[in-house]
Amino acid sequence: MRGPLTLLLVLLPACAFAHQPVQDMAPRWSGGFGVQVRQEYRASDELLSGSSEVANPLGQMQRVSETWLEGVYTFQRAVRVTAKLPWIEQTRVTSSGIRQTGEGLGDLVLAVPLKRYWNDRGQTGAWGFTPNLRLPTGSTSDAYPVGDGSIDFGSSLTYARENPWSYVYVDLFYWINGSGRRGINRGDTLGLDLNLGLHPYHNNATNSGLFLMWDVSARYEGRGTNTVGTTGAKRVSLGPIAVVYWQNWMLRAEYAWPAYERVWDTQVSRGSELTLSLGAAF
Amino acid sequence: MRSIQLLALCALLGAAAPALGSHSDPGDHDEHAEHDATQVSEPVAPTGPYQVVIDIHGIVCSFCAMGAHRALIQLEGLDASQFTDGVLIDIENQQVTLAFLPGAALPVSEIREAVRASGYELVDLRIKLRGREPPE
Repeated sequence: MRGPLTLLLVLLPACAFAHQPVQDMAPRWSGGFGVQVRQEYRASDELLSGSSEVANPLGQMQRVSETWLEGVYTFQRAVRVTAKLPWIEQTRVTSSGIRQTGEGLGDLVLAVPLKRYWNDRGQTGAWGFTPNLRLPTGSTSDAYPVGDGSIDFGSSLTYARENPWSYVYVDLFYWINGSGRRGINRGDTLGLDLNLGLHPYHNNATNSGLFLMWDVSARYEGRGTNTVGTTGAKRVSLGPIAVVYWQNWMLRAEYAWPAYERVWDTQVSRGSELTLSLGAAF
Repeated sequence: MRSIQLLALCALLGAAAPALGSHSDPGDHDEHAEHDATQVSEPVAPTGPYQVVIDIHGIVCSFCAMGAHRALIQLEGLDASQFTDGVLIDIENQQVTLAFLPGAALPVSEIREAVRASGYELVDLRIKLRGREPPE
């Protein structure tokens, strides 16, 4: 649904997906709940200065794997709560040629999506406003810390519309990132996500089918710092999304390709990203 | 303002299976009697198995249609051997078909509540009933 489902700071385990909804269209019934496991993987050894690739004699790189456990509970149709907690395993080679790793639970993200659904002949949709809070549950002790030690605040405005053959999802969000430990102070982030999708197959008898979507994600990440240097960039990524669902289960796969990237100072590119998620609503 | 209409069709007394074949044309009045659901004070209780088709605006969301399924299968009198636990959701036509056991009362208010609870409003809802003559 949406998606299901971006983050970053080149050398930080930021969570671009942190603002995004868990199962946007469901559960829309009081007392409904859902769980989702999402695996994100990205890696890059491309060194950028601004938007230009430069020589990388020390082999700077980053490789980040995040496994998110997410849950949603719907108190009533218009009000739900979500919680997202990542397990992070990451490695980087710094500008000094030092290899650093980090592993552990990351920062917990809590949100209260407020929805206004509407139903019409042949379509349904929802406007949403979501306040988010990111708590510093992740450790900052590793050489490549999985947490940043700050309390961050986010909010997003969303619009989703779906008919039997297509799906549109728009998410405009902003994160205010606090000053953390060990000199980590990421810049604020403004982002826009757009999912445009087709619904080419659906089986009424089994309530199963397929969505094929195209994602456009744009980010403006203000200049900031982590334990080894500068963070922040302007980015636009593009990529396909496929969603297979069967009754209350949903499997989502997406690939994001960095179509445009302009970093502050010199940083390793965010690289392309592969995300797989499996969720269910009850 | 929610408006609710009941379209009761009773062409085949006691017939079980044929309900699905021609259920989707709300303008087909040759064989169908039309009633305002708000005027139905007593549930209809056909003597044979029957199916009810409901038009619901907005029930196009495949993944969350299971919410409607989840609520509707709680209705009493459903024939669980048909469809999936007695309920079939057609998102393309925004229709839900319920299969009831012979003699089961038609729980109009319970259907309305189940649809509402699953996240959809009963805007322009209609019901097609087959299995006996329409109530006078």
